[in-house]
Amino acid sequence: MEEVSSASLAQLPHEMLKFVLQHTSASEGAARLGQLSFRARPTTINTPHYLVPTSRGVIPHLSQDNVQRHTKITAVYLPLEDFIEKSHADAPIYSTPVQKGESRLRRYTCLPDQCLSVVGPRRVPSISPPAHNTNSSIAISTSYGFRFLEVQQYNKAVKDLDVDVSVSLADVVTAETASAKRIEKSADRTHAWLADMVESQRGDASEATPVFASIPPLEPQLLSLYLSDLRDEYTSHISGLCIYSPSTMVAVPEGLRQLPTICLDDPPTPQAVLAAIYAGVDLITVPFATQSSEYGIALSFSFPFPGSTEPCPSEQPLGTDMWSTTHATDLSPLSPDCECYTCQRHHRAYVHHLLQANEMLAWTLLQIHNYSIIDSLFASIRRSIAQGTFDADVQTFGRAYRSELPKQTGQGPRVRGYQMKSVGRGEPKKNPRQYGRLDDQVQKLAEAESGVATPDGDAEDIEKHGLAKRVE
Amino acid sequence: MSTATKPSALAFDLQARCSTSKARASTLHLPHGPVDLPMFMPVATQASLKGLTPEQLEETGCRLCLNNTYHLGLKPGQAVLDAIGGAHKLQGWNYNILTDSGGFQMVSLLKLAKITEEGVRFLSPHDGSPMLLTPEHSMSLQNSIGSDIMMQLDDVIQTTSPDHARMKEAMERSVRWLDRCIAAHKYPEKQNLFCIIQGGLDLEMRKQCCLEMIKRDTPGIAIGGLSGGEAKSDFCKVVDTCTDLLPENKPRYIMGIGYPEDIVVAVALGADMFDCVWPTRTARFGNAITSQGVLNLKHARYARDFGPVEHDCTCTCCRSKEDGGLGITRAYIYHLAAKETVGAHLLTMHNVHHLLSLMRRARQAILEDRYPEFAQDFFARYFADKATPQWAIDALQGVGIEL
Ligand SMILES: [Zn+2]
Ligand SMILES: [Zn+2]
Repeated sequence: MEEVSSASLAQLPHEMLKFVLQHTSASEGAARLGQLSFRARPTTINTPHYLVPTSRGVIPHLSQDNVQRHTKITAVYLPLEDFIEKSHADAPIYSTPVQKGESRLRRYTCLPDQCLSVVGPRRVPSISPPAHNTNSSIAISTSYGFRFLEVQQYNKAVKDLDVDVSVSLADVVTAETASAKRIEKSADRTHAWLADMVESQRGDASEATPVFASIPPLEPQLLSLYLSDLRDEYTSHISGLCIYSPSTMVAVPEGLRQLPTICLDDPPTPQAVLAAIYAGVDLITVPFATQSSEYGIALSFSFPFPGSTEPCPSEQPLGTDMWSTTHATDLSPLSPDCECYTCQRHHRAYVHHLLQANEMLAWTLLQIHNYSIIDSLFASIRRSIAQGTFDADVQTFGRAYRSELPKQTGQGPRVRGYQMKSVGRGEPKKNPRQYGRLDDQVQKLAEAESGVATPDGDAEDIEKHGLAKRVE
Repeated sequence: MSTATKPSALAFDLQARCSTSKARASTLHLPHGPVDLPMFMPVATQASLKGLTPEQLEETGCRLCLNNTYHLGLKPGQAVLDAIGGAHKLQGWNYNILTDSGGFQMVSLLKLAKITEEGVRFLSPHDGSPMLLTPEHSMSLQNSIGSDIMMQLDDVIQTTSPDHARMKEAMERSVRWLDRCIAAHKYPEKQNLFCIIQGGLDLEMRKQCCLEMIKRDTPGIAIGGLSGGEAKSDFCKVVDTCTDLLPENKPRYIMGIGYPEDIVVAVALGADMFDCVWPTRTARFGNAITSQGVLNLKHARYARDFGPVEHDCTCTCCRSKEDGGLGITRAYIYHLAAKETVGAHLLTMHNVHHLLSLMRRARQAILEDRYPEFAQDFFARYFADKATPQWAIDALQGVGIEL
């Protein structure tokens, strides 16, 4: 039962998007319940909610039929840089033929109807290009290398692609050693780019794309001018806010709080997700779900924590490392009581085998499970806020679980250049090629299999496995 | 309906024969449900098919897939298979599984595999220590896997080998090894052991092998050693010779054959079952199999091709959104190919569906006694912009089908 304690309808420019705040309460920090709906889309998103980052238009390892059938994902984030190849102008996506009223982005990527599309320029998380943004362009990373994306190109692209939500360009300064002058420029540029975007949206209001105004991750005093301008001049032109770190929430003034807020960040743990929601974020990217799948980790937390943390804190793991041989013959589901396809139809032993055998299906089954855990987390968060127990539940969760996800012990998919994370947020890990003796044999065997398979097993293994016996 | 007189776990129901060629349509009743022949069996080497979930594989219409004994023997290994209760349970696949003996994998993949009367000697791929695989090992592993159809360990050598004496030795040894396999097979009432006809390209030797193998009365019969680079015309002669001798009431499986043109000809020559890694392996390289031939969707010419992978294809990937499919375009596969695993998933889905659908149409044609027209139509499309290979023209002519 979600009690509506205060409701307010944001004044939106063209009613393409409607955000109704349903419940805010002083005792829950800034956490709040809301409902985001779109004139042109069938889905209504109850917030707080998660936003799934895509890679080249797909949720990694999940073909669209699996998304439809086995996930409850209702919002995805698509970076424009994933669709730009050698040059922006000849990107094939812009030639996608569409019927009237149909989104070019949705048609090109075959994005399931259940998923709202949120478009920004850069991947989440993204790589820091060696080049710097300029006054009229940002540096992006494509599968052909680094490029510049002009502000005008970006503004035109979101219109041409007919995306559901577009995020205005932000001048995010990544270098920790950036000068004060450079940092100051960040807010000014972001401000100017928003003005450009709003300008480009003028004209037929019914065709305009809802814009979420980016707020770069800067100290509040550096943002104050921009934010007061946003509040005074832009509220009738923007549909929401987009931040890059939950810490930005404290700088957001009252007059902008009625807007839905997206946080494009890489929270390392569910605890960090809870903290972001506590700070008032409505939609947040959770890249650790896909990353855990690729690391072979099945998320295993539940919120609120079902057990007791009295008298002393417990050290529950946040996930299970499926590479561990303890699962080799374990026919139990990845998490007890999980209702996902993976847990209902398969078991730990299979996922473990697939990882050991370097089969792509391991990542697919883990994605289905991990996004099911994430979906449950957000459903429970909403329930907890509605019940007024969020504050206490967050505390308990923090005491119950470890402060980090399990470390990766096995090998994930081959990481490509454009997928690497920025340095600083964890070193990029490219998978080393692992070949033992008799390399050409191993290579041949690898070719006979799927994925990046390289078999191993010494004579003892082969013998133990009953495949053959050792002879002298 | 007829069954082998020895214990078997299948029933073979021959439904129709082409009045022109030797093509046949039948239903094979196996422990995990019936399958319609002629059929193509996709290869899920390590208990998984290129990223497709068992549910997605099921959706392509597949009811019998392959697992490789050699690979499952290494991972997860026999002890795990025994603990779990076999490969069906391991992969959550409730339909049929066929396994090879593991011998072919060693001979073709491993350096210095040497065959003695005892078994296949080879070096461990990891540490190089010498190992021995015997017919008994192979049966024991396949019993642990629990495959619905298991294959005998055979003595495989290159069909193109000029060494006649070695070829004869291999053929005769394969017969002796079949006897050892039959003796070692623990569950003949639950799992079907197929023999494998050897004899290289020597038709006399093939005939001799057929006669010996037929005497052993296995529930099904495979023709082996035919995916090793021999001339296609020789391949056709061997199949044609064998099917003339093989009993009508047993399924005939040609191992390692999977190009659409090979299958369409082999069906006309009286073969029923085929397997090949090619349709799924090639998907990873962006190759789409269509009735107009194979398209490499990684080529830039497809970057703006917004048509489906194959027009009129009814697979989940190609069907339009309006038709309940995903509406995947060639342009989007181009965008994903070799960059995201989903690209491989989608093309695998299409390629497997394409082969299964080709077989369904072939079967329907046989049931309606119009297989010659089906074969003619297939070749006219598949080789639309190039010449139909002479070997196919000759082989089909041999069974009364003019291209
Ligand atoms: Zn699950
Ligand atoms: Zn298709």
